[in-house]
Amino acid sequence: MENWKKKLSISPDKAVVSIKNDRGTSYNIYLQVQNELTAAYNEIRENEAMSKHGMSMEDLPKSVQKEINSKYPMKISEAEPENIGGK
Amino acid sequence: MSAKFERKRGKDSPTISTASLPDIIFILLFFFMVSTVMRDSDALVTTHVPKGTELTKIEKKSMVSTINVGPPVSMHQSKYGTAPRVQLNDKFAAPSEVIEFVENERLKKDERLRPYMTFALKVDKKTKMGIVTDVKQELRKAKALKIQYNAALRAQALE
Repeated sequence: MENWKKKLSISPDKAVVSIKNDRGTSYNIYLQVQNELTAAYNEIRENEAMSKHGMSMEDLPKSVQKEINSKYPMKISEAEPENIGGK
Repeated sequence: MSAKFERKRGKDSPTISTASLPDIIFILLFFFMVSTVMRDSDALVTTHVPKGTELTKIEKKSMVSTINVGPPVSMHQSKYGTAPRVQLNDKFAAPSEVIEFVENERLKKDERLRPYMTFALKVDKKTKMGIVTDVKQELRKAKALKIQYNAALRAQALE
């Protein structure tokens, strides 16, 4: 079983991911991070869809998709950037 | 009877009827009227967007207003430099002008559609987060909370 499945949150609907970046951070890196976060949420939701409904997320009706999405909501908080690196 | 024969031996070939020519012209005209798309403003900045795997296709392009951020196009570099700048519609702007841009974009839309508007950030991958954060904070001040990051599709995972 993948490692992350052993460390699931007790209340996934309350889980928040916090991102902080420097003003000098490259936008490409920022989007790659966002991409990986989205991929992680998609993976968790897809896993839920397959195990509870036997179908992929995209094959499920909108209402069920919404259900799974609200069970694992994407809550991302972005902190005020620092300027440690300088311009 | 002989008159008929004489006419047949004349040099004119049977004339083709041109009665339907105006119809064809109008059909072509209507076709172009329907299929013409209004062009976006000229790109003043280069925007090579980052590549990602978790993309969603934009459904309603008409509800999206785009803010471009990137280094000025080579043609404008002599006057505006090489550092990334914000482009709103067809001119360069400072992040502080984003609020006014949001207001104007909202005015263009029917009141009932305003809650469904999205602001797209089409940012060059080499831009630093400083200017992007400034734009995002102005969007937040203007209560434009539905935003999207434009990206290109990449099939494989990195590494």
